[in-house]
Formats: sequence, C-alpha cells, structure tokens
Amino acid sequence: MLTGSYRKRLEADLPRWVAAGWLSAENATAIRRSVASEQGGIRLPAVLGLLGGLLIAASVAAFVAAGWEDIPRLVKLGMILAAIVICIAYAFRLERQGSPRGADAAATCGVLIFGAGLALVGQMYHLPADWPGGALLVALGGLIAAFLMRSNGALAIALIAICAWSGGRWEEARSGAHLGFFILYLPALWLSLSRDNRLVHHLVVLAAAAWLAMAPGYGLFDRFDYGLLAYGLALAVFYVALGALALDRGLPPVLTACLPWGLLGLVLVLNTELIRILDRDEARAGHAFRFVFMAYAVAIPVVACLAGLARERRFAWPLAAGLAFALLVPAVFWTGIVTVMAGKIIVASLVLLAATALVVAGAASGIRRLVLAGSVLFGVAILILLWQTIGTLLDQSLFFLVAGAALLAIASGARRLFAHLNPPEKEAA
Amino acid sequence: MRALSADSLVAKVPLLWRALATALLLMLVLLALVEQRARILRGGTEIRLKTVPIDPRDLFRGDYVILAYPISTVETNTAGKTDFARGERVYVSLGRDEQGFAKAISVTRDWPKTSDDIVVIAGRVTATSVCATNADGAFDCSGRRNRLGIAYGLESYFVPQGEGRAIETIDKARIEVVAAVSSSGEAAIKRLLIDGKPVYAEPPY
Repeated sequence: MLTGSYRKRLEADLPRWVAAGWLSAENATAIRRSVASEQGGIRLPAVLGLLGGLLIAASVAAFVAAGWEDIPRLVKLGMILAAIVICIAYAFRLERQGSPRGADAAATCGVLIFGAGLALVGQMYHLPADWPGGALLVALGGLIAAFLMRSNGALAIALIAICAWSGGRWEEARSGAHLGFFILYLPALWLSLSRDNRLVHHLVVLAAAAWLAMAPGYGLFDRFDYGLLAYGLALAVFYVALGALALDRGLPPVLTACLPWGLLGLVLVLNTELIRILDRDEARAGHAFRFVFMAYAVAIPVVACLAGLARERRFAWPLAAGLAFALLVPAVFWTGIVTVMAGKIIVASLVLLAATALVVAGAASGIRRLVLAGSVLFGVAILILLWQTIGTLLDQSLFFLVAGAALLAIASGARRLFAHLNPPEKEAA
Repeated sequence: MRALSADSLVAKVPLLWRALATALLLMLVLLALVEQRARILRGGTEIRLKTVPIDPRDLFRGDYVILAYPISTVETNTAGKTDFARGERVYVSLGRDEQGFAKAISVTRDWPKTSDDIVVIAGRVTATSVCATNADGAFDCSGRRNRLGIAYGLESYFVPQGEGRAIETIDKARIEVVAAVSSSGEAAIKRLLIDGKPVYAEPPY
C-alpha cells in the first residue's frame, strides 16, 4: 500500500541504506522514481475532474429541484438522458487515452446525474417522497456502472445508497434485520474484492458494520438496553481480529479495512463500560439477547484463529490476549459482582490490560494504529478512573500503584518474552 | 480466485460494448420508471378525491404539496385491534358518495371480489390504530382507534418553486384531485382542481 507516510519513511530510510552500502545510489533513485510515479501529481487531474463532476451533478440536481416549467418535462428528461450518455462516452474516451482515474470520475458523474434523473421522474409523476426506494434505484445504477465501467466512484455511491435504502426500510418496518440488504451488498462486496481503492474498502466494511448494528432490531434501540454494548463490543473484537488476521496472512485487502473501525468501536465501548461500572445507578448487567450470544460465537473463534494461525506471533498473541480481556468485560457485568468493589477492580484491570496488550501488539508489529488505539484507550481509562474513583481516593491510589508496578514488571520481562516468541534464527535468515 | 474477480471477468468484454451497455441500462431504468407511471395515466380509471393539504419542502425535488384524503384513514372490519402490520400491502375498495367523491368501503389483504362500479386501489399501511376523521377531515380520537393509515402514492404533488404556498393558503375544501387507478390498483395523480376548475393537468409524458 503506497501512502504519503510510506513515502516519508522511505525518504528517511533510503539515505541510511545507501550509506550502509546495502543499496547503490542509482537503485535508490530508481525506487524514488517508481514511488513518485505511483502517487502524487498523476492523481491531481483526476481529483479535480471528480470535484468538477460532483459540482455539475449538483447543478443538475438543483435544476431538477427548481421545477422550472418553461422547459417541457420531456425535454428535461431528454437532457438528463443526454448528460448520462455524454458522461459515459467521456469515460470511454478517457479510459482509451490511458486515464483510468479520469474515466472513473466521468462514470461517477454519470451515476450522480442518473440520481438526479430519478428525482426528475419522481417530480414529473408526483411519486411520494419514498427516499429508500430512490436510494435502491441509485444503488442499482451505481452497481451497473461500477461493474461495467470498473468505476470505484460509482461503487462508493452504490455502497452509500445501499446503506440508505436498507436503513430506511429497517426504520419503516420497525422490526428485525433487513435481509434484502444482501441482494445488493454481496455484488458490491464481490466488486470490491478486485479493487485496490481504500475508500471503497472502508465503505464496504462500514456498510457491513451498519447492517450488523441494525440487525438486533428497532425495538432494542428504541428502549436502550446495555446488552447492546456487549453486542457492539463482540462486533468490534470480531472486526479487529479479522483485520489483524487479514494483515498478517495477506487476505484480501478489503478485510484489512476492518481493523481501524474495529479499534474505534473497541475504544468507545470499553471506555463506556468503564464509565458505567463506576456509576452506582448504571452498573447493571443488561439483558444478553440472542444477538449477543451470536456475536460472541463468531468473535471468539476468530480471535482463536488470530492466535493460532498468525505468522507473526509476537504481534498476534498480545493482540488476541487483549481482545480476550475485552470480551470478558460484559461477562463480569453478567456475574452480578459489578456493584461491589471486586467487580469494579476487575473491569478496570481488564480495560487497562486490553489497552496495554494493544500497545504491545502495535509496538511489536509496527502497526501504528494499534499503538494509537491502545494509548487512547489507556489514557482515557486513566482519566475516567481519576474522575470517578474506585472506592476512596486512597483505594484508587493503591490501584494505580499496583497497576503501575505490574506494568513495570511486564516491561522488564518483555524483552525476554519477545526473544522467545520471535526465534533469533528467523532474524538471522 | 483471480478467475472469479469481477474486474478480470468484465475485462473480457470490449470497453466500447461496456460503455454502451452502461449508458443503455441507466437510461432504461429511467425510461421504465416513466413508462410505468405513464401507463397508469393513459388507461387508469378516474376517481375524484377530496383533499387536506399542508406544505413542506423537499431538498431534492423542490416544492411539493403534501396531500391527505378522507380515504387515507380506513376503518377495518375487525372489531377492536387491527391485525394489519405497518408496511403491509393492502387493497381498498372505493365506492362513491352523493357528490361523486371516492369513499372507502372495505380494506383487505388480497384482491377483493367486486362489482363494476367499485374501484380497487392498492396502498401500504403507514400506521395502525389511527383516530377517526370527522366530516371536516380533522382527527376525532373520542371513539375507538381501529383505523388504518394508508398511503396510496398520491400524497405528494410537485409544483414550480414558490407556488406551494399559494395552494397551501387556499381553503382545503376547495381543492380536489382526480387520480387514475390502473387495473392492478396502482394510482397516479391526473389533475388538481380548485373550485372544480383544473389548475394543473398531468399528460402521460
């Protein structure tokens, strides 16, 4: 994956490698040229083209919304159809001229104008404001262009529209999961597997997360239950483990996009759990409904797979341990000991242990987002503990002292542990 | 794995054909939507409806008037609790009152057996246990709440920017809508009348 940060690291490393004699100056120049051609300047026309296309599509949408009657509506429809043809023809021309990103921008603009066309037809025939229905048709158009024109922008629009459609229908029906989602999501997922666009990868992962979040049904959100936190935690753990496994085993790149969103969910849910266990009124078990068990039944095997199948054990084992600590937090709530001191100490320790494990895994593998997530979780947890103490301030002071001493002990043992997990012959090879 | 990749699969088709197919398919979706509505306007049975308008603004589709009708709330035949669910598709049999306006006779889940002078219109349940409406169209919640709220796809009427307010300020008793109902029960607004005179008429295209 070539990103700006990769280029910066390379700029720092190349002179060092040349100085050490591992690389000739010509080779370093060739590497620089190769990286520069992959990114940077070449993208600029396509990015500007995409922004211009978005503005043109917005102009068409506003023109439709004005309902201007001086132009007969059939002429307006004809103009929309012509605009779609022009966009696709332009995409064809740019693709032929060897500018796939420019072609992508033109096809994306075509899909947006198609959306404006749907609004026009809705206006012409006074269709009721059924926006999920409109989103469904936009998603369909997006998928057509994404498949046939190999457009990433159209795929991104389709994914957003799929979420809007599914969310709208879910909200309307006020019942359980909206299974129709998969009719459009699975083709979108299939398309995304052959794309190397990070925006598309993130949207695919987020769309699945949105569906999973809605799956327990409208009622649970209507009358909030703490069981939802356990469900969210298990999902976040599943995402982190899946993302980490994909990074380690070289699974399809779309799965690696699970990692940052899983980490975000993990940090949010664990800190919420910590806040509420220290609050006398909120320290309640919550109701473990069917979806919580299902999420745990999926998350635990994936964490086990991470621990068992990962190539780089000094990264996978601490991470799997951290995720296991996180999964134990709701279980402590369910035992009913959360109202007494022991429960509070266990939950606070589990959260700090999970945070430490994330930092360790991140430091061992050089994955900075793991270090960041662990540090944020750790830092916020300390702030929460200072704000709402476990027992008296003296008890709290003792807790920090013991936790700090334990960490120092781990730190001194960490060197030997890593040497054991990562045998020296591998490094020598 | 690589053979099943979407991009390598579609790359076997020449780019020109793919571009043509994309443009055609996108246009077909739009034209199919147009034809589906135009068919109702061309051949549907006409019904007259009294209205109750209010005026919101749709960000994407410009100004439109929200219309409600006496047939938007329908009494179910079952006593007490209704056994219809939100979002369910229902068929409402419409007769005529003394002035010739449509009035709901019955609501069923399946296509009802009817005589020639009854028009059947399809709708979707938007709410269960709705209060009854009195002769003026206002809600009267004193009695039993065993009515269904039903949407027929006739609830929005788009007007040029700025004209929505003019319709809103008119006394609702003066506005009437003529809708076309197809043989499968789908409905579309055909004309909007004020004091019995057509103000907006909708040709099929």
